[in-house]
Amino acid sequence: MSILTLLVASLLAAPILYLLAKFNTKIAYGAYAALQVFSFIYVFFTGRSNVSYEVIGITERLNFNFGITPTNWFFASIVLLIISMSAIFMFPLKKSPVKIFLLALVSAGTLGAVFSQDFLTLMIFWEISTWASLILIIQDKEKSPREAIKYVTIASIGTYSMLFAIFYMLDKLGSIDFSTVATRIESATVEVQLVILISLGVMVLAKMGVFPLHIWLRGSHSSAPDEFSPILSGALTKIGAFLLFTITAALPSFRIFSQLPVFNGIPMVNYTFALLGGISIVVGTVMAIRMEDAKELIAFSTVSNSGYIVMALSIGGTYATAGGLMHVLNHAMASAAMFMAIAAVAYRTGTTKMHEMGGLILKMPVTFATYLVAIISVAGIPPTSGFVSKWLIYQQLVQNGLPFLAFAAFFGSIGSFMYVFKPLAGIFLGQLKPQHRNLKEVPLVMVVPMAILTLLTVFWGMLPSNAIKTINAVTASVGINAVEVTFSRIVALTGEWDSILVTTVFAIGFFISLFIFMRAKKARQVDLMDNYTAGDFLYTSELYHFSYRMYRPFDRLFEKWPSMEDWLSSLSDKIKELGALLKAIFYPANPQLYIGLAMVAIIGTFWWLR
Amino acid sequence: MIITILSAIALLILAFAYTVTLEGIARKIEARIHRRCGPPFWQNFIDIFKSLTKHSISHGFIFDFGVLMALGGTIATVLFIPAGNLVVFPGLDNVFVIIYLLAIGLLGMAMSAVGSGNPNASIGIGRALTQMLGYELPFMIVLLGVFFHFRTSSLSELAVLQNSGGTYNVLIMPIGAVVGFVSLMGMLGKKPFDTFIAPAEIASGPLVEYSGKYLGLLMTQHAFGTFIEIGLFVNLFLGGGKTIWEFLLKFFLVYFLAVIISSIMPRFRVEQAVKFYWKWPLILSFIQVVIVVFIMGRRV
Amino acid sequence: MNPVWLIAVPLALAFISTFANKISNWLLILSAIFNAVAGIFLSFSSGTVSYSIGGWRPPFGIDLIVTDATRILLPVANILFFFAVIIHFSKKRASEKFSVVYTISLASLNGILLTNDLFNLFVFLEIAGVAAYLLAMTGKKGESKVAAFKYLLLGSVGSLLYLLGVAVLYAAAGTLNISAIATKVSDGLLNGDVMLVSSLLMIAGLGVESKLVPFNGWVPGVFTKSSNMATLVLASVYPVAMISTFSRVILAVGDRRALDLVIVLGVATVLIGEVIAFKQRNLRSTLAYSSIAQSGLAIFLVGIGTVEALTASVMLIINNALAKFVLFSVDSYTTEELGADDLESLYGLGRMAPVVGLIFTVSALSISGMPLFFGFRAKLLAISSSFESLLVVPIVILLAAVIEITYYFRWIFALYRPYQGEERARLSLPLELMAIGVVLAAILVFLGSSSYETLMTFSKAGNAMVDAIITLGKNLIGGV
Repeated sequence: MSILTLLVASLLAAPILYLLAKFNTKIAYGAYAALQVFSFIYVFFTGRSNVSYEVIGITERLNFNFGITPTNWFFASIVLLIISMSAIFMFPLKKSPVKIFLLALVSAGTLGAVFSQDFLTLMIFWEISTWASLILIIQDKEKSPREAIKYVTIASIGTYSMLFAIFYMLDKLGSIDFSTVATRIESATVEVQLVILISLGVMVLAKMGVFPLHIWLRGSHSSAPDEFSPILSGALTKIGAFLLFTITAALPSFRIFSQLPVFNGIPMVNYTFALLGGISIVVGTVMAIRMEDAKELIAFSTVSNSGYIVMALSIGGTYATAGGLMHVLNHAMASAAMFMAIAAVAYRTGTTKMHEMGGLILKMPVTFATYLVAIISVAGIPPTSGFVSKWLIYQQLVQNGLPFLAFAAFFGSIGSFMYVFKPLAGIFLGQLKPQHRNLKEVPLVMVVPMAILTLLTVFWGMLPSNAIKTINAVTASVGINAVEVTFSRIVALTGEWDSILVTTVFAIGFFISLFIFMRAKKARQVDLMDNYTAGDFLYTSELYHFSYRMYRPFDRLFEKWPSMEDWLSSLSDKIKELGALLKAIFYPANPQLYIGLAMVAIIGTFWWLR
Repeated sequence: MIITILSAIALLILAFAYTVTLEGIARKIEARIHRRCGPPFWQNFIDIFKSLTKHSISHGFIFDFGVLMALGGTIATVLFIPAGNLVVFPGLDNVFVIIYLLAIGLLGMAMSAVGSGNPNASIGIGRALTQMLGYELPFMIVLLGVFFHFRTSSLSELAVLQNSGGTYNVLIMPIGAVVGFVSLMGMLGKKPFDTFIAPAEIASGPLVEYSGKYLGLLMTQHAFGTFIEIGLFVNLFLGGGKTIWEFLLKFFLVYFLAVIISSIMPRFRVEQAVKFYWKWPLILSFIQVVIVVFIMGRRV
Repeated sequence: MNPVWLIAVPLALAFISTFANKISNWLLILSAIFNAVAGIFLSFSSGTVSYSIGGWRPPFGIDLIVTDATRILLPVANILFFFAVIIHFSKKRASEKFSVVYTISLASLNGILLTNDLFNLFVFLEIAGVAAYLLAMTGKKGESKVAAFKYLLLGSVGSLLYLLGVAVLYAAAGTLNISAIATKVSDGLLNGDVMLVSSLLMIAGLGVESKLVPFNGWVPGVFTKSSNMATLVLASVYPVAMISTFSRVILAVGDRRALDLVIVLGVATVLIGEVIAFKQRNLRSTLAYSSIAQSGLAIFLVGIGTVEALTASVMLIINNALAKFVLFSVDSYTTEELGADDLESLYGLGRMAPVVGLIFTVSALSISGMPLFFGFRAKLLAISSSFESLLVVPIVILLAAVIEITYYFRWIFALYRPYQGEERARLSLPLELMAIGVVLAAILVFLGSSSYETLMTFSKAGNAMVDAIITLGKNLIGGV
């Protein structure tokens, strides 16, 4: 069996599953999950060692090129992991034949994209998954079409920018293979290099949700069906990282732009991309802090984390590249886990507004644990895998001396404490709402994928060397130096990180406190309503849950800031106005005006061409 | 191995005893500035030990777990702070690790406090996290300059390098040191940056529901936290110390200065605090780091 | 088979039906079936063949020409016409009044596609035009008469300009046979200024029917006000003939300099069409402006003039014809069932009638050029060939494409949006519309996902577009 077979199978699975779902949705969803898990396992275990390529023709000059290289394998494993986990997770949720059809198409498109070896193949399969995901997004929620239309526009800006780049490459370099382009682009002129990399970069920004093309994430991620948000945020945005890694690392953007102005060892183009990444870290963080809906909040955290990935992969270098790739892994797992936890909560409570819940920790302990570990990873606190990537990125920032980018990175890192804590406090901690008294934990089939992602996050937090070694293989394949690792240590420029030792020390500290805690008198258990109230009495728990606008003081700081999200709708208004103007000019009510116009055109062009 | 364990125990005892003593002295100093008599300097020991033996109430699992996580995380962090020549894990004590390990304690504390179900606690935590975004930013940016200059973020190495270089960072990077100190005030939660505790407004905020052993554990945690934060400053800007005693002396001076300033200050609202940090300290920290990166360059 | 029957049979039947009004519907159906079958039959062979009429050898007589391009376009046009007729008559309330007109338009469209003579082309254009004016006024309201009148004015001016252009060319070249003139043009025997004048006049004249800015003022009025059947024919069958003829004539006898004008006008048409379509709030006018934009897309490629560009052009014409047929028939169906076709009243249609949703979605995705659909293959080629021109051309085309995708998705989303208005009766899609829609959608998907070899047919057509006529001229006429 080969990648091509897998791809054809998953493309064909879409109509088959659709028909199957017409008869029995459960079997269809089961088959879908089985297919996804199988492809993950197959890719993960067989793709690691053997490098292979496959080609099929589409037009005279263009082929579908697929291949398994360490890079493809790395991204494919991450993306397929998230998709397969979500495929299991979604089993108890609302099913429909259309959804399973589109889900299968999304998976197939993603599979094709991450195994592509040339830009056109990447784009075509990426597009398949994009338009399928577009229609999928509007399936469940009422507000989604208005939001998804933004995604349409931004996605097509990206797509057509990439399409332009592809044909421009074909025109100027005569090839669109990753490897051939990488060798030929070095001898091209600066303008050609700039046009290619910038227009590919626009695609990256659009699909990863990086400023200024981040505006679609809030609406699309939050209004997508709950089971699809993990895939959207965890898997689909990561294909953007794949493209970015390809254009910054595989195409030697550092070498080819070294004749342009260079800031602290980083060429101007890369620096600009990194700066956009930085801006989206800040914008994403600030907006995430201000959200009241858990899914919107996580959507903005995706903006912020995509910013990290873009920044890291753009500034390049040993540490940032490794850190960026590690962050792809972390954020895929963490955001998928967060979205799953919220989906689980929404499955039981029917809402994603944080202030409409509270105190669910004892009702849904596994969901709580999943969410807790995921946010610890997003905030970059050891011993989860999130720490390592941020730490590596900081190493590069220190090495190159980049204070402005570092500002954004620190802002996102510290700000993430604020926004990830809000759902934790609002949903899981605090006072339990009376209507949620009888809630139960979600079914086992939803618990298992959440638990797997959680355990993996902790595993790579405890033993980051395992992940870093893989990443070293990826970076080695594009000629970037490896990060020095031993079993438990990672050695970087400004110091070492010993995950085992730190975890042990933390455990010791914990046991010391536990010892004191156990030795002291046993505490009396009281209800949450038995609280300090300055002598007053409490009757309504829901009024005593402080969650709505938890960061109101912070909010006030940013109230007057211009919204960065309105540019698209105002652009759309401008286009409509232009449309009215053009209509008035070219399609007037009176026929004599058209004829006059036609005459003017003929005479004018004769004068021009003569 | 044995030496590591012994020095770890020594460091913990030292941190506990010294910081709690200083906290007692600080209460005395503050009282004198306010023209009061003040408690004896060992009052804080009495408070901690007494509360550990008292009855207490618990608001459930997360309430307990959070406290343990807070203290555990903070104890773990203390072990990475070099105190003069008492260094438990040489080479591994890099600042990013310390700052993020400290965050475990903070997260535990926050979970536990919000888990109590008291809105005062949630308000306090919200303010604490907001203020953190204020003071950490200028501090981290100054640190970037320091690390860039010395090409290491290991605290003990930084201390050694400053001592061998003959000058302390407070002289090489005076602006950064000032910013660092202002940020330190915020970290310590000293006035004017004590809005998240604010006893008169929100009933001590996060601490509102704690009693008995919980309070005792958290007071211990607070003592360790203070040790970490001032220890960071001393090692980063004042060259740590060649001996423990030198370190402790510098520690005392920094703490003393912070206490004196805080005892004559009113209180910021939290957004004022954030605004304040994002104005002068942030600008100054950028000036400092630009000077370091573009003018001073790396240390040869 | 001699393709002249494709013109003669409908013409004869139309003639009969003017006397036998009762059976005119049956005669229309008969001619539609005959032409569809004959069109398919014609496409089995390949290569360029010329058929002289009345035994007069070209360039002295009129001849019909069948190229590889005709072999694709002719069946497509005839089959779509046949489908339109089926849909029309299935409704039971079809009037007999206009059957003759439809039959005549069928004959003239085939004539336009087949003829190799400039004046003959003019005659067929006039017949097709007159038929179209009559069809345009079939709308229920008086507005359709106004729109048809405007169409009449503009169409007449266009025909006149074309005739003037032909006259100028005839005076210079001494023949009306396209192949013969093309041979002379390629040998450089004609004066440049004469060529330019005649090309400009012909571009303007043919531009009216090919919906080229600024000669297309009639389109929105006619497409939105006319009856459903007339719109279906005018929007899907007519463009196949008109645009391909535009490219055939301009490529064969046009001045090289005029090709720049074609690019400019084509790109302007695309941009203007998409921008105005973006603003529209009801489906039919959106589709009308989108048709304008699609014509612009197919025409600017003529200006580029490479084989690849013409292949893309043929593919775009066919993609537009198939997809617009589905879209307009869905539109007319919803207008009849729901009484309106604005954004709000289409909410939830896709959930209520899944097949309508499916065929609409597929066609809209294909028009807007999404992968897996035929439109994507066409657009891919179009953009790739537009790099032959200035760099600004692909950029403008891509910008327009972004706008296009956005408004098409607005409609797709509207179809799947929950509906909250008053109760609606359960919609039942007529069987024949469903069957035709599904078949056309399936073709779009099949062509979109088929291999390169399948699309070779289009490549042959593009090749034929570029040099079949000249080759024919060289072979047949030789030294004349």
